Amino acid sequence: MKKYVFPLMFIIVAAIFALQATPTVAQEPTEPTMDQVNTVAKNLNCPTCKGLNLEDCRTQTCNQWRDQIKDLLAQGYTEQEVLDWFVARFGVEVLQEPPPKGNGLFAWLLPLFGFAVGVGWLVFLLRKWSVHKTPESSAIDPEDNIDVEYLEKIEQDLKEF
Amino acid sequence: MSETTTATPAKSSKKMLWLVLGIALLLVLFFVFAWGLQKRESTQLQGAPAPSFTLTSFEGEEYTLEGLRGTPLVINFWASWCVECYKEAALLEQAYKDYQGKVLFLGIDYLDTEKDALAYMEKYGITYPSGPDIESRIARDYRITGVPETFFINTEGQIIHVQIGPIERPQLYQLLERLTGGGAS
Repeated sequence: MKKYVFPLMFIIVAAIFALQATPTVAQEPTEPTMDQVNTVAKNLNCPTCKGLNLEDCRTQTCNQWRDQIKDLLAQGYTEQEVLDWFVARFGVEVLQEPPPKGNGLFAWLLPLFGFAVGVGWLVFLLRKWSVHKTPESSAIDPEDNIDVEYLEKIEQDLKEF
Repeated sequence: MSETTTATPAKSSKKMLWLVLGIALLLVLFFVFAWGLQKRESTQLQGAPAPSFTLTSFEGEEYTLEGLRGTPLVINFWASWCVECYKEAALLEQAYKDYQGKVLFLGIDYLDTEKDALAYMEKYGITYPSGPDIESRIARDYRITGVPETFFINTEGQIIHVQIGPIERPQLYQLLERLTGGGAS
């Protein structure tokens, strides 16, 4: 009888470990959390309100779209795959940030172009002002057509003063 | 003052060239923005040929404007989240049944999820073909400003009326009569 005790104990312990391991192996896919949904939603525009993103908007349309994100995540889609799905279904306009290609490139380059034009204009103005100021700060050019008598009168007045 | 008198003619002409180029660039930008901001409304299409489209219904059938030439069409843009669309849903379905075989009704589901769209169709008993507007291409071509919007297209493919907002029964049936040649135009 004693010779069966050790193998029996081994089987019982192994069975306990096996039972504990089972739930980890056969785990059901977990439902996406609202944080996960919102991480994707903040990259999308509300389709009906201008300027709001999907994460912040509380309209029925956005609720439905957030549900769609949740469904796709639950099916195993990655964040990027969900965004791609929305672009394929509703167009590139749904993205908060347009991709830097095609018409979207215009949205990225225009502010840079505006900035460059602004800086260029500022440099032009500053250079223009500095050129104007230089002759004013220099001494009077004797070749300038200035009334000599008037100058002598001023100097005389200054001496008297 | 002294600067202008000392500047060489070559320098001033170069400056002038830059100024002209700058102004020309600003003008181009201004016209590009003005063109982008101009109003594009669906009502502007009234009397014009209907833009061509391809719609794949939720059942998987494909409909094109060219393929439907010769049949009067009623195209209704709708969405399950659109409260105003509820008001005309049952009326459109009734009209579709009344004019079955004479006028084809097509529903174009705008910015909607399929699950909610199908639930909406079931709730209101919509049986005429309806499908999603992929990438909102049809909505863009038809310049819709929102939903619901309904387009009435005659056998020649010309838009005879654009209805913005829900349509009422007398107007709908009057327009259907016009499409089928039964009413005053």
